[in-house]
Amino acid sequence: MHMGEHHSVPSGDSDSRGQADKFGIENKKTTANADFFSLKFLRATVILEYDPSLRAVLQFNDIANRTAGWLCSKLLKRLRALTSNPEIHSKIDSIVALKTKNQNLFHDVLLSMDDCSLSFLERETILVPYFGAKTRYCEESLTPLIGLEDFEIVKSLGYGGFSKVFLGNLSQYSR
Amino acid sequence: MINLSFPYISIARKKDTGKFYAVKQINKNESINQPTYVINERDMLLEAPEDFFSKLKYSFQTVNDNAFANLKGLILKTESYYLIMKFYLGGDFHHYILQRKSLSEKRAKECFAQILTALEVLHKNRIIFRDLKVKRSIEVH
Repeated sequence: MHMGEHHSVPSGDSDSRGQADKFGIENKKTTANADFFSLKFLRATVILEYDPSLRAVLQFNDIANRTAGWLCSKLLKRLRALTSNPEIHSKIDSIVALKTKNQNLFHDVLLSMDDCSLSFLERETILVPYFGAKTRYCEESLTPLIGLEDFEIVKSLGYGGFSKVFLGNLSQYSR
Repeated sequence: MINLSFPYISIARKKDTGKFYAVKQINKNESINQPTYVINERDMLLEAPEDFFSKLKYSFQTVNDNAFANLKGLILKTESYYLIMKFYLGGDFHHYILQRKSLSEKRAKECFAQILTALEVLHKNRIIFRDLKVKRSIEVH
């Protein structure tokens, strides 16, 4: 797989400025001074890693005005343009969301909200695809069947609703 | 060891859409969790306005959890009710106050007004919130 292939895909956007370099190394040099003086990096590089040999790279400006939904559709479009393998294409079709490679839950939640601003992004972020599973439907009424197996538990938060456990723990610590 | 006599909250990702939800697990085997209480809670959440209460998205119950005992070990195998609610990122109000050490008078007023408005809605629907505290409130930015 030729890594730089996607650069031949023309895009009229400001993010096409990074066409000359492969992973934005050159570009970072030229904008380093501007980044240094602004509090928030306004330019971000996002890499969607399907597997180590198939990576879609997207560089864009003005991250505060972009949304997570825009990023997802843009990255998937780039990934499709990178390969002609129909098997991978059908797998790309089953990607429903993106998640961070270093498992940053906070970023994952923000990325899952389509209209969320991307201002939380760091200068360079590596994302990996989240493959969706099909919903089961009730055969007679065609309503979706929802059960525990439709959810993937990411993190447990603790007890709510009743305070006893919390209070017990708190008084233990304060003594 | 997780004590399941009290509802247990986790964050979960729905597998077909990749969206995040808060999952409240209520153990069936505890006498305190009567079916009528859980149904009441479900009905209340369904009717409650979204502005003040975390929206209920799905609810279901499990009859025998043996098949799902390995869910990252976070949920133990019990027969439970599950309430799937909208997940808010802000964290609880208790945490919010601790982070800032104190709130300005203006901010405190705003927050208190919001909590009171939510209580007003409950009271209009003839529901009493018997155990209100800062840990129960969620900060939504």
